[in-house]
Amino acid sequence: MSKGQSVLGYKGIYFIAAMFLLAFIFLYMHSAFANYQTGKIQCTKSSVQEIMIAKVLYGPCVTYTDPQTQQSIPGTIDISKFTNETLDTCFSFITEKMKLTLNEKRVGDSIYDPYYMNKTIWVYDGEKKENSILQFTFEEPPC
Amino acid sequence: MLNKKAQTEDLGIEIPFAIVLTIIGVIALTLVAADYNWSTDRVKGALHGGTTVHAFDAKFMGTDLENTLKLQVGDYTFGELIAYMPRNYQEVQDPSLFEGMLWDKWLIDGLACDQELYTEINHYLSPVYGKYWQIKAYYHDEEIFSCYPADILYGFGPIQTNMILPTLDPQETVFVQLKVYQ
Repeated sequence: MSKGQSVLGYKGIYFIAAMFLLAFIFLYMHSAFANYQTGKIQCTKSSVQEIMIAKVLYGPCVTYTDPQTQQSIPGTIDISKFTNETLDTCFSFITEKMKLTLNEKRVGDSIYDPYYMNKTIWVYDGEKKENSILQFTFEEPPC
Repeated sequence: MLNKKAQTEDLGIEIPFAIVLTIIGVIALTLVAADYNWSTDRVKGALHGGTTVHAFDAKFMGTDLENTLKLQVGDYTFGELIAYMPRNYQEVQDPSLFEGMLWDKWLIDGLACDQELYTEINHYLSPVYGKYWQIKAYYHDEEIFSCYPADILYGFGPIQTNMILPTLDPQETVFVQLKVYQ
């Protein structure tokens, strides 16, 4: 062997391979953790569903408005507003699917993987009012 | 020959060394991930109002309590019955309220719901909370009324919502509580 010439021996090859392997393991694990955390942060389906419930119960979309005070009464449904058109208008910017069932009357989308929840409600039909149960149907949150 | 032996001995140390480093790296990453996870959960917990029960049905309980207080039982709403309770819980002053609606507990100063009132409330709340609901009323920090299914199933929680109602005495109020177990 002439002077100055280096030889890549068994040890050198081993170190290169080990370095590649460790770097690969580190990058893979870092990527896996990052993806997991991103997925966890981006999972907002249940939060969106809560916003939709709040909008139905408290918003002016379907709640009864007192004709004297012009105030919406939370936890009520004005049966004349309980239509698909009202729902489409109120949730036009939300892609999440929802179906509402009130006394056999259904409005909203078809849900194939349903998740139900009930809430107490007072239904106003003109001057008449009665207590009832409003059923919300959502798609099962995937996360 | 001597060099080859030296190389073999070196590798004998380096392989375990590499394994130990890998394990340390994995533990470090796991700890970082766990810390991040904990932070994320704390933020989510704050968004959920710090409640430990995350059941969907337990949200928006305020409207359920408010709607229940509007239930008509006989000539009164449930809320009106509660307004009468402070003057009836130690000594019955309005006997007409105790005909199916309220029940004077024996031996202790306190009221409970009788059959008619219980049926109305249970019919309304059971589709939402099953047998996990409990309504209590407090007057001057003293429990004066309670109503819940006889076979109530206690579980995790409870989570609760509160409301303050006026009494017949304009200077006094009653603290009403809906508790839900999960």
